Amino acid sequence: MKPPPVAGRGRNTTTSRNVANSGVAARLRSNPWLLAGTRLAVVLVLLVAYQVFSVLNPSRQGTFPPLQSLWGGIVTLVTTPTFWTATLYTLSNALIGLVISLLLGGALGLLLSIHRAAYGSARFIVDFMRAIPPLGLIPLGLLILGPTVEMEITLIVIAVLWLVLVQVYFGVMNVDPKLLETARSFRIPPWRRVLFVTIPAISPSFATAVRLSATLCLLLALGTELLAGSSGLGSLIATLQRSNLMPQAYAAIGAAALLGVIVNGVLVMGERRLLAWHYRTTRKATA
Amino acid sequence: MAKDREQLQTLTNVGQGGNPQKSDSRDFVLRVDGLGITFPSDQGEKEVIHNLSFTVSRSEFVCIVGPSGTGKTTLIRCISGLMRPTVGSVHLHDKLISEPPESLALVSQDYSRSLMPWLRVEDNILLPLRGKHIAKSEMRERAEVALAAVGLSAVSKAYPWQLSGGMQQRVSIARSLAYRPEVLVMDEPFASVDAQTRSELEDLVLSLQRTTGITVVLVTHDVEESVYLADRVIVLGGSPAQIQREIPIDLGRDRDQIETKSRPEFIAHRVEVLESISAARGASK
Repeated sequence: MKPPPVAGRGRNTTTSRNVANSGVAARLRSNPWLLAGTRLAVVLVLLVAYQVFSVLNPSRQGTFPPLQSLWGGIVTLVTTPTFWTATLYTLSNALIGLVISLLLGGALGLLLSIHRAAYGSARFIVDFMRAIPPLGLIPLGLLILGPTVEMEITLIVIAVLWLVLVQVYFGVMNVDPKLLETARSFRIPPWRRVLFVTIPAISPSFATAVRLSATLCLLLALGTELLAGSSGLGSLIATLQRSNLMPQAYAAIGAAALLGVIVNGVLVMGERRLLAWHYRTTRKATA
Repeated sequence: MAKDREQLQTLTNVGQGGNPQKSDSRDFVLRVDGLGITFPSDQGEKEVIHNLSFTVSRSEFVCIVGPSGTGKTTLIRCISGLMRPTVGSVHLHDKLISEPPESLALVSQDYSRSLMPWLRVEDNILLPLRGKHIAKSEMRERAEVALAAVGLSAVSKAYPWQLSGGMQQRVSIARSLAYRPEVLVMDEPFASVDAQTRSELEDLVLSLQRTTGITVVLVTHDVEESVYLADRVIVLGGSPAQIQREIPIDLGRDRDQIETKSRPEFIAHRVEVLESISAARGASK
């Protein structure tokens, strides 16, 4: 007797099938257009609620401008060259900070994981530095370096470095010893084992580090500019706010958020593509 | 067919070593001398293996059989140079094994944890060859021949997760063959595949051994498997583990899953091995 064929997309959904196949959730998941439609509907509901609030409170329209003036703010902003140079400035600083943090944190994490005694001794300082709220360092940065690009990038690196370091360190600790032993049994020398076994094996946890720190770098770049910067999207937001150009300020804040969403989305997509082997292997193992 | 055979014979650097009869004492490939292993444990030192001595001749197929937990994997780690014994020694020819030797390859039970999941089948096979000053064309040829030998030429571009368990284990066998060792050491190589695949892989290893003349040391807990594959079975047992018996298997070198296993000699050998395992268990209790 063969069991009857089971509906559903694959074996991996076995556990969630009972719940997901009944009702709205399943229909949403199986139809991307419907899903996009409901998402759009949520945004529309919120916009309408905001508009109603704004129109009913004319006295507060300075802080909560109605949608038509917000739209005007967006149009003004995206047609101003300053906005684009500021965005580029912020993005490039965040990127430089990210690259330095990844290289430095990656190298340090790898080094610490190779010599376990080194991690033991460095652990306190790593935990201590990780616990400092990054924006709390801004006064110090201002005092030492002034409101400069160097200050912005230094702050980013100081805050993000530890996240990368810890992620890489624990990535290496979690590499299957069996893989390394296999390499050793084939007389693959230690430095080649690091290069061709350890590093590819930790790439999933490194990718997580990249994704987390990319958003954090952007956040820190914006924060530093907002509080102490002379240029960049963050300082543009501050200037617009001070000049009481609320619709444009809102548009700039929205642009900053959109930047974060785009960066994260691109990284997630890249991760899915590059690390397909990882997702397939782990999914098979847990199925 | 003839060409395939010729190609296969180039798989090992033993060449035409298919006949074990013209052996003298210098023909020992592997020599284990008074090997003992002691691990630290909660109650002081725990001796896992006690005074093990045996030799393996060129082109011989030796199975080491014993119940789980008798330190078989530890023994294999010593033979393959991944670990040093507490006392005693292992020699490959005249050379003391203190690190993984060049002419020995290891196939372990966990195929899923020994193949690199981020490398395609072909690159997994090439990984041990890279950086060893082997010409590109030769590397590629070795990989092709090895893949053909295990019948997986068609999937050289696939990733391990796209293959079944049995196929993955064949890839790790191919990887060992491409390494061209003199001795193939296998640690419970068929323990995590289904019964059907298991017989297929047993026959594959047997036929590879016959065509290449490679020396095989295979560890298993399966009595029937050990008798079916081996020219000689070494029974491990007791605590600490010692050699209980060495049983030469006179079933000839042509073996067949059905015919061989129904022969009275096969059954007699099986009983012999089983008896010495249960005798050891009784003695240690």
